[in-house]
Amino acid sequence: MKQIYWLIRRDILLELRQPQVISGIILHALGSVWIAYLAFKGIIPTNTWNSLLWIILLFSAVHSSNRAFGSDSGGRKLYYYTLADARHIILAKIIYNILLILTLSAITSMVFLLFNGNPILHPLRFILALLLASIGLAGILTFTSAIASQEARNFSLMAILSLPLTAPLLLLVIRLSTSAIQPTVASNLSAMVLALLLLDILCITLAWILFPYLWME
Amino acid sequence: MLTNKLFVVIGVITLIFIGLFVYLLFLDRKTQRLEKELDELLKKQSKNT
Amino acid sequence: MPKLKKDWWKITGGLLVAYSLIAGLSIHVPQLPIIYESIRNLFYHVSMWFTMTTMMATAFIFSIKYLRQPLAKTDTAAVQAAAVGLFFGFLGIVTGMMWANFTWGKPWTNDPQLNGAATAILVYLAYFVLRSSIDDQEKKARVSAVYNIFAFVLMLVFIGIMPRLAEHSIHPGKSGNPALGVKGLDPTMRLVFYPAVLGWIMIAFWIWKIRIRIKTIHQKIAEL
Repeated sequence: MKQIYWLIRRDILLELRQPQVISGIILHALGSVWIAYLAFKGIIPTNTWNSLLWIILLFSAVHSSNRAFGSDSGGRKLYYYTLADARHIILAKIIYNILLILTLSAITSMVFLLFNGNPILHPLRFILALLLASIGLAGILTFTSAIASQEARNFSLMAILSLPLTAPLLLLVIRLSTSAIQPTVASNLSAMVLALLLLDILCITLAWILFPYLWME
Repeated sequence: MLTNKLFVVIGVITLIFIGLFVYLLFLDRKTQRLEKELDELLKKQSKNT
Repeated sequence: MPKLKKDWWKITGGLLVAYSLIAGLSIHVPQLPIIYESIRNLFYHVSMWFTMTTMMATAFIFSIKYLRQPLAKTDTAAVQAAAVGLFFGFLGIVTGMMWANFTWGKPWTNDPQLNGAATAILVYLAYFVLRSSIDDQEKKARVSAVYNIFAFVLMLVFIGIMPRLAEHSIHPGKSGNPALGVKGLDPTMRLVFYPAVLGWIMIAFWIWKIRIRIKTIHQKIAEL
């Protein structure tokens, strides 16, 4: 347990020590929001804004998780391998990514809403969507980052692996946040939330079980 | 509902399938032959070394 | 034909499929609105999906087997199962598009079952991209086994659970059980459908075995 906390701390400290990386990602996300605003303003209805936001969030999440396993050099990886249990490492990375993606999504969403007015009628649902999406995305993307990092060559590999796997998660989340901007009562709201929660738990559990096999070098 | 013309269609489809099936069998036998040949080659190789 | 004793299942598979072709087109089927006679496609189009899922499950099992005991032949079995599964998946999608175009007017709609199927295909295509990007044999096998396990579980989620959650769907038999029929499956159709699925699965296994053998021959030759 203490190992996990220490590992998360290490990642956070590393991130803060090089603010230009995280700023780059935030800037990338905000840039997308800006371009989306310019391109689509007045043309598309509110529901489409919702989907657009989530696509932007997805891509910035993929972008940011890509570095989860790539930043350590080989020698340092061996050092950590001898120190920490593989399961702790993956759990720590996932939790770190949850925080990262959540922060990223929150900032992006707020700027998005700033530009497009705030159509959210049920803020709780939207926040829930952000939260569950971050957890699920972190789980899946940390896992695919671990896989893609084994092969230093291919940057697009991360995206290729991640996009199909995150599709159902995204679908559910978009539906949940659509219900946040509709005035009507969502019919199977609790089913959606439950499904999202289970999906998140499933992804994290799978990543947790499978990671040790990846970590063997 | 079953007209004479439909019998022809059934016949055609079945024929096509039988053709594919026979081809699959042929591939199966060919693979077996290749495997045997390869194993004998390997055995000869290990006997010589 | 020598060695008929151990190859009986291949012949049986062929017979079952042939039976499903003949019977499937001859028997009387319930005339349902919109699909009418084309409901016979159930025997062929849906069989493709069942076959794909079975082959993917086989790949899944062999991936787990590989992680527990890393043998090259286990890895070969897993990849080839995924390859055959992908093949049947493509057949399923293409035949589905044909059928959809005929009955619903367009080849693709925003239907959860279709999206789940497409996502499953994409996931397994990514599996092969992953394999091709790693050179080291052992690493390739290990990493793709891990991905396969993750992918299969998620695939079950896409094609099994998501459609059930959908509020509405035009796929026959949805909003409830996504796999079969309209008011459960008509008993006469069942007589053709079950043998068809079984037959196609046997054929798929046969193709799988042949592919494994060809791959093994290649590997042995490479070692020479």
